[in-house]
Amino acid sequence: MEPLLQVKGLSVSFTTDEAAFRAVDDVSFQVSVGEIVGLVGESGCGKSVTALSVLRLIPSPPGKIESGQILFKGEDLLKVDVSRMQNLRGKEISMIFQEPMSALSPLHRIGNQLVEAISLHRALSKKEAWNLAESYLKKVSLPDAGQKMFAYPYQLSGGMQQRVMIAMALLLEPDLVIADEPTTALDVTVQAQIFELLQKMRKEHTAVFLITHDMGVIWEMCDRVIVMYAARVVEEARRDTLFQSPAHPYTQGLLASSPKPVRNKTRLKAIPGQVPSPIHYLPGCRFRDRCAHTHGRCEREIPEWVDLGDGHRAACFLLSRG
Amino acid sequence: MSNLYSSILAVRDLKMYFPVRRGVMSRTVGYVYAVDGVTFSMDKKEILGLVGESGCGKTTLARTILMLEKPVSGQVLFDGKDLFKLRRRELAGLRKRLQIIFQDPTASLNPRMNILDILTEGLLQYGMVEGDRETHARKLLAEVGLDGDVIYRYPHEFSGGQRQRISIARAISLRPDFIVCDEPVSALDVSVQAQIINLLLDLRERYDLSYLFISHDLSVVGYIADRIAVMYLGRMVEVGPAGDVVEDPLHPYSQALLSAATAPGVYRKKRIILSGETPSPVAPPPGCVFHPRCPKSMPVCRKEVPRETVSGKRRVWCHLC
Repeated sequence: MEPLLQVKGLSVSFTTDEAAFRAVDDVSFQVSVGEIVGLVGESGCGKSVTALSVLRLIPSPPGKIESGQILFKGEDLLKVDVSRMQNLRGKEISMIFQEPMSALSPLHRIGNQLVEAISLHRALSKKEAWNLAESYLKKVSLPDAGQKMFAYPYQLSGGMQQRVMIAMALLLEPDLVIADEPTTALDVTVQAQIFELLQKMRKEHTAVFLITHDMGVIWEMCDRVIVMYAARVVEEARRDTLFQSPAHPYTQGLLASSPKPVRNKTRLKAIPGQVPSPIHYLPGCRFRDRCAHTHGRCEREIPEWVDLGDGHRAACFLLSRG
Repeated sequence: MSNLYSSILAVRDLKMYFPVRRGVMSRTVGYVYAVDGVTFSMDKKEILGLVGESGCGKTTLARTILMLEKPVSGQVLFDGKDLFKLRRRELAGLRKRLQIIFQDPTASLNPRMNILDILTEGLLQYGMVEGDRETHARKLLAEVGLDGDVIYRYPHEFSGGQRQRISIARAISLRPDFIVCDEPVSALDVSVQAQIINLLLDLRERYDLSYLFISHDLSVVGYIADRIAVMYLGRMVEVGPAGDVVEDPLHPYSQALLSAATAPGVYRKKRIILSGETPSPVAPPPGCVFHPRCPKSMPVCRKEVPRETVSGKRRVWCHLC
């Protein structure tokens, strides 16, 4: 499959009065046309910063994209000017945020917010844009779409608001949708409805870059998975491969510590310690203080990538020793 | 199976309504039927998982059991005594035996109190300090796997997982029999979540604790609970042994809820997608509250509230069963 989005060696740093740190450190991955790629990691690992960097939405200062390339259909988004970026956002790459309540304007009617998004990119009459917006609300199965166009966000439930966000993200038929924890704030039965929608979207050849902390969501939705820990990618694999034979000790730990509703209860294998803060990342392998297999080399060198075949790769010395 | 005699907690037909007030005179125009006739009991050392979606009344039920709300009707029997009929003095001795761990460890620890004060506030109130305060606080911290030297630090100096350990230490400080765990791991990272779940299970063994474990995460509840109770719109729809409810839910709502749960690595059966949204608890539908969204709804469901059906260790409220 041809790559739609290629991120190469992306590093993003933040500088505050107290400290300077890298939130994203040498991250590379790609998303192909019509593919659902998941980015999984715990809080503070840099997954949201990675997503925002693709759309160049990192506030600067304090943030700065230090190095790397973000190739979208071959065009380096870090080199294009602001007007090209504005033209691209929403139309070719759109974004679904975690909290629909804070992503939608509380002061404007749903319909007007959707029409605004359309009129920025397409020369349609107000009437045509309104009808198009309404048709998308129907597409995301919002009940009484016609009336909901006149509603304010607070009048809708969380699930309905998220549908409005998804409708807005799809309005201009983008090639790529970045979804940052799209179902984290929602109940499971509503989450199931949103999953169905995202799957339907993919059938229409929209690629999805899905960011989540939840291995369950990854399992449900993704073709391929990228695992991040402490600002770096540590493993990448097809979904089934990752769940059947995780290679990096961190991925293994994440899977072993996820509780499963089963009868024969064995004690959960928790990863000891806690997620490090970006100011205190260790030199060498950043997972080594929580890892059961640490040896001398982990302290000195950053683990190199080991190719395990079929697009499966992991950064750990255990694998390269052969 | 629990009965009135062996159980630590028995809840009988509990109802908790909140008035909806409007206008300058704050006239009561209706009620939020938050908990509407819930009955269950729990054994000593048992973990009962309480699941359901937001607004279904899980937290109100827990708060009412802890006497933080005054119910409209119904009974809560703790150790055989009706909590809402006791005199003040009798209650004081009982209160310390019921504790709670909240979801958000940042909001539930006072930022102006150091760890020593947080952990010994209850102990001082009940005159239960053993030796000096410092030693007792250190002992409590050791129980939850924290270093004793942190007693003069403040909550903001700890990570989320550590704060939740402090909350747990505070909850066990008065040697309770029963703890409400209201989404205790939902705010934590996955790798830390497992540590806290293991800790809760260890403490149960050590102190014969019973937990009412509230969570929206079915994987967590399915793992930790002995029995699971499913709530929908203020009512209980199904209660039974955790394995049975997870593998073979009987109520159509439990079936939909569990089919929507994500279990990493387990190939799923077909998801049941419910249509529409949960109705408002201000105007719950007549008959079975689930009938407008139920894929198996029958004419009788619209008229009659389903009665409890007992089959083995399971109880289900559905006309189909």
